[in-house]
Amino acid sequence: MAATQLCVAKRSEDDCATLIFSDASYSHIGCALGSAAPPPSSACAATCVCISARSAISTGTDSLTDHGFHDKHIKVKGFIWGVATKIARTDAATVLATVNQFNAVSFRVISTVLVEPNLRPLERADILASWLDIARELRVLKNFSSLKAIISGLQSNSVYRLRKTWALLPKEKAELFDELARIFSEDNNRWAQRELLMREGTAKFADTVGENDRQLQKLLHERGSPGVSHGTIPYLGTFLTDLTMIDTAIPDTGAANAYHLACDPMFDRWFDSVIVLDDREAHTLFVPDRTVNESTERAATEEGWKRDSLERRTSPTRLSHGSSSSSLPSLDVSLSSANSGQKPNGKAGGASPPHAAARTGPDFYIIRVTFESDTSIMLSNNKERTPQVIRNAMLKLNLDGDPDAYTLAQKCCFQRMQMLYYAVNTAYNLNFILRPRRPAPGPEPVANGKPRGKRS
Amino acid sequence: MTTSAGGAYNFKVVLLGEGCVGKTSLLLRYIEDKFNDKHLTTLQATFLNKKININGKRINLSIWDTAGQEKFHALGPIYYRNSNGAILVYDITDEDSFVKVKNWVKELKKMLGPDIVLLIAGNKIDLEHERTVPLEEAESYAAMVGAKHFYTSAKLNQCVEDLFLELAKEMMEKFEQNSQKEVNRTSRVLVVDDEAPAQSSCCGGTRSN
Repeated sequence: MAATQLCVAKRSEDDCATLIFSDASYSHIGCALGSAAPPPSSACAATCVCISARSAISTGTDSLTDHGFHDKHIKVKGFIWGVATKIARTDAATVLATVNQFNAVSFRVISTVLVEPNLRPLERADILASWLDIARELRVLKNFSSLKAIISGLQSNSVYRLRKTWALLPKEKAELFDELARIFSEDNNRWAQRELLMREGTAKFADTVGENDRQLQKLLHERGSPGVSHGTIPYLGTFLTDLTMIDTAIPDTGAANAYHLACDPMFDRWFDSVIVLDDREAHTLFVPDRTVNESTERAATEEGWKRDSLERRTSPTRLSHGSSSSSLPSLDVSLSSANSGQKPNGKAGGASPPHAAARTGPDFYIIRVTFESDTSIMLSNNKERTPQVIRNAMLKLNLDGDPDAYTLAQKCCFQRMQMLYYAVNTAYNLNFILRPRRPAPGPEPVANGKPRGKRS
Repeated sequence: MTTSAGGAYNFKVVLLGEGCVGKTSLLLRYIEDKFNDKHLTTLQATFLNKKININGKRINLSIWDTAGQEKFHALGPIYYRNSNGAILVYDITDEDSFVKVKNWVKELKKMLGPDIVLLIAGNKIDLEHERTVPLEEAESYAAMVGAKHFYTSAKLNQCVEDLFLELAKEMMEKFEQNSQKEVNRTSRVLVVDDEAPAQSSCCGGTRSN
């Protein structure tokens, strides 16, 4: 008796309910729990039964209620789909883990009852009684998943047929079995367990017993004020069946179809282009001076924009005051070598440099501007207003329209990161992206003879 | 249960088979009208009822489906206990699902013996071009175990009605046979009872469940 250990632990930090029960002969559990069970024989010596409801992580009530339910629904559907296609889908991993845990418990019930062929029926009945005690604890813990696993194991053909063994079960244990099995009764569409979940799903304690549940009533009475038990672990199978039914009957679940929102490509493009920073990037991104970091946008997934990914990082051509004019020819070369998809561009060559040159400051920069294709324009240091730079770039790119309808952003050293242009930041490569500001203010701008790329 | 109270037969039917072979599709197709304009909670069902009429006899089928729970080792005897018929469904494009049908046949025969009517349904014949379960193999197996074999498509509503109708007919026949036997047995027992009450005490007491 002294060696008996019954450890019922419930760790809140990982929402994991664990019932560990180990002993040289685990039928001692009856003693530990205050019943008059005789010290058993033991066949299942050294068996350590650890019913760890790791499944709690995946099937805790939180994930099955409220917004979490939607996620679970997706996972469950993923699971169903995964079964169909014989592909182990990672996003249904929690469902699979729950099922595996359930089966692991159930198979252990069966094997511990049957593994010793030479047991007398009374000894085997003790094993049944032990499992019923564990099941009772699981009921108090509201771990309906493992509870059903045990009940299912006891109801499996191989165990259920042991009439002599069952007949030797003490009366109160037989009653307990009936009461626990009744929870999972298929009557009235599993009314019992649905009702139980409704009442106890978010409750702290197990306190729901039926009129006929004498053993459970007694148990709750004996326990007085029960230890705090916050979580509930439902039996997932009920939900899987419900969802299978709903999914089959209404393949496109109704509520979602009630939405008829017109797709807004500009919004979608913006939404997709916002990059998600990891912790490091978020921390180091902020550059306090000069950079107005209103918008950090991800480099475009548009065909044309993609061409200018940072892998093709070309160093900015920083020009000294005196050498500016000599570099201009190379600018035009890069333009003419641009994408073959462009229509012949007659005026680009000569048009832009004069604008930039007219505002010559102490320094010049040649910046590369990407819209559907690349071009380069010259930028005087911090002297040009944004609209003027945009106008220059549009001119060079052969774009018609109002410069106010466009924004210009400089790419930063972070991957796929840009800052709206207010002033050139020489800490980064001088690669810029030009893009329309909002949904077509006028006719759809046409760049280089083809319409702007559509989201695929 | 098979009681024919009020002249109506009540039969319990279980749908068995691997996940995603189309059990629920068959069931919902069969009782489709039930779902029209009904609230979703109708779908929270362990079993669905269908009333039919064969040769003027009223039959109420309770069709049980626990689709989605196939991977749980939970569908023990409690589930198919007292069922009069079982439809074992496989997907003609999935050989594993046919192996599963064989396992179910074995288990049901062992546990329920001849008391249950078995039918085998090869579902998804709309995917005939992807078939992997050979036609001959399926049919000869069904014949071997004494189960009628149907090819169904829940999607195209092919043979679904026939499947359940055949099952209902066979269950009715079996019920008639059994009640006939029951009558014979009862009369025999009566004779025995006159001499000494038969007692089967070898198994001790009985469980209350």
